[in-house]
Amino acid sequence: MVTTDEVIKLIGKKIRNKSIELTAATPLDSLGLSSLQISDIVFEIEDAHGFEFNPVKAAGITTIGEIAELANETIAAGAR
Amino acid sequence: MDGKEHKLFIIAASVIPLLGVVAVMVLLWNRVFGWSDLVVLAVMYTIAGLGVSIGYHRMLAHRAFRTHRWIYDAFAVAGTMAAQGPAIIWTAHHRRHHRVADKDGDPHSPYHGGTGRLALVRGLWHAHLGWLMDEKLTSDPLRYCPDLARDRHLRWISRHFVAIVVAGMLLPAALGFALTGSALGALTGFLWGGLARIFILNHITYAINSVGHVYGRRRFSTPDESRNVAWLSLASFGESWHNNHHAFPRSASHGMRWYEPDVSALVIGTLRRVGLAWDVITIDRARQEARAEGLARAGGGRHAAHQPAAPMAERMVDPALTRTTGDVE
Ligand SMILES: [Zn+2]
Ligand SMILES: [Zn+2]
Repeated sequence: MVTTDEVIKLIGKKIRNKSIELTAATPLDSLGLSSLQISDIVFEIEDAHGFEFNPVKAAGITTIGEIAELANETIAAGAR
Repeated sequence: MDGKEHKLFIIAASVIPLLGVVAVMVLLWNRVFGWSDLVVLAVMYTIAGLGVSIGYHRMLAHRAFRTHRWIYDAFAVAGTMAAQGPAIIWTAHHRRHHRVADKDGDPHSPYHGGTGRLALVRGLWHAHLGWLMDEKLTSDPLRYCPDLARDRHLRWISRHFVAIVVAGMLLPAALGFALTGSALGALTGFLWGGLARIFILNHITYAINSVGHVYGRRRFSTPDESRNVAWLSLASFGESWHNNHHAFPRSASHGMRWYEPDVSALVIGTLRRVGLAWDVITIDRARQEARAEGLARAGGGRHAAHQPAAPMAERMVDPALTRTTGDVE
């Protein structure tokens, strides 16, 4: 189970502006993350939880909450 | 790193080496170009040049061969030293280039809009260096190279891009010192093997994107404007057989005739013979000719349709989207 908190912690390590408040609804575009940093975050979650995102769906992610959502969806589908 | 930071880095990487070249010329005024400088320049040019050609381009972007983990990483690091951008960003841009070469969405096509001489000059500049100044241009690694971004080593190498570039400039200084035993030798080693080397190699690489899509011969009527550019072939380690490459992107060899020198392909072939590379993708003469005929019938150039239309990432996920084009993609 990937929690939004976990994703927020990962993102918090990457962004320079620490004053931005991170919630599930925060759009990724607003964080000033580079595409490289975003893929870092996405694939670090994969490593930690042992699953693989569907790249087509991953490319459609826009908010922090959606990362956790898609991760859990994928994990659940794999467990079935 | 992309957007503004990437742009600033590219500007720095194109201007600082220029200052280096000027410094080199001033030094030359008083002092003969030392043999140690020549050695350092040649060594570093070869490391970074093969790093981009074999590492970034053929191995990462096109998966033209497989190799041991340590060789894989070494090639990625060597390519990083060329200072053309982090591995994952470079390959994302490059795969996108192949997907829509010389059409809307190509990150660096010289056919940038408009006709006439001025549009051509502007287009050449855009394809050469101008495209790297576009802050808004990003090619999403999640879309274009999830296979590479998924690799922890490549992510680490991409994250430490600037540090590796700096290491690639200290290395020639150390080499210069080792060869001459003098501080001056270290300094000129840094200027030649670091700054001048970055300047020369980057313009050769960028010339493949600009010149290589405008001037030269076309063996294959590919649905783009790629060209085979003989005069760039040695300096680019074979990368300038660019029309061959667009016809068979996954081929480990871009040169396809005995008179098309391709040093990168020779190195890959040597690695294969000594057991350090395998699954090397080769295209025999019959397939080349079949494809040349097929493309000639279909008609080429930048107005011809691209096939298949689906982005690489999507095709890797959904086999239904994969057309029967074999491994030419
Ligand atoms: Zn091209
Ligand atoms: Zn290519």
